[in-house]
Amino acid sequence: MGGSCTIQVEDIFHFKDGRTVFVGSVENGPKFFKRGRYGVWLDGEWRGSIDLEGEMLNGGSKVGRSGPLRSVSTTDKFRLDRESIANRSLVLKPTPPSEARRSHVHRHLIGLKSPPPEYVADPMTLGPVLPEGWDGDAWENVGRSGGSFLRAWNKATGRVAYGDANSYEEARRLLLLKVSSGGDTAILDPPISK
Amino acid sequence: MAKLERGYEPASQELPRLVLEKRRQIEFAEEGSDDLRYLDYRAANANVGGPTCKHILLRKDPGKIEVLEEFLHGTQYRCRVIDRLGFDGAEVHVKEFMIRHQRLMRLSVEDVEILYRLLKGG
Repeated sequence: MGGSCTIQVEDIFHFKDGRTVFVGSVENGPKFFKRGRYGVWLDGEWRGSIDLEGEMLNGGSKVGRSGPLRSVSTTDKFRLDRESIANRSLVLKPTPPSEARRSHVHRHLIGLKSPPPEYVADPMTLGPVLPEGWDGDAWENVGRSGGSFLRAWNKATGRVAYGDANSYEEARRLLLLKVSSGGDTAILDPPISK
Repeated sequence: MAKLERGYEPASQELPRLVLEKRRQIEFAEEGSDDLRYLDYRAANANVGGPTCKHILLRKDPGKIEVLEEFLHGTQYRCRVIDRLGFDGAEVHVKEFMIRHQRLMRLSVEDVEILYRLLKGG
């Protein structure tokens, strides 16, 4: 299907035959979207998965006039309409359900800052390779503004580190810099009494 | 909405029936429906979709070339032309095919001119 490319939905149409059609912009997408399972993200929150039938071709339109807009359809029930997505970010992304669940469950960790709400788990990476004792995860903003949020933690020492930037490379650099300096103390609210 | 370049010759009543016989589904976009809003939004005369490009959506008064083009997109899908050429490539390919086979499809001079104009884009 579309690899890791995402569809930023601009409008939704509910056809008489029961199909729901999404029209949205795609950057670096495949030549043609085939059928496949896509995750639905509304304002960065995973809302479930749908089976897309594939891409729709528009007849009688001038060649090259389609621009970046593409149309895909599903026969799955989809409750949102154009009014309910107005001024909101609706993204379709070919994310395996297991990864979607991972981001849904582990967004908020005790003692750590949560990623911004519009960020989703980056299915391609868990962040850079970290020194012994450190663990981490990676989040990306799949909207137009982009952005990468990396975080790392060391359970043995109770230290945490973050990298937040417009690009993955910069976020990675900031995170590794923080980790190498020992990181910050994890803040537990309320503090755990001994 | 951008001005539509409609087909010159209207589709005969027989043509959609023949298309249906080739295992395609046809829907006509009704006034006030999301189907019609979609066609207007995409500035399209017609549309084809579904898992194997066999669901055809037409405006109420389809032109002959509009019905034929949507039908041929299904054939393109089956022959993997869409896989090979992609979304925009398939649009070019189908129009060139129709121009090359204009006599076989008995297209009018006016419709062939329209196909040339659509090919040029715009």
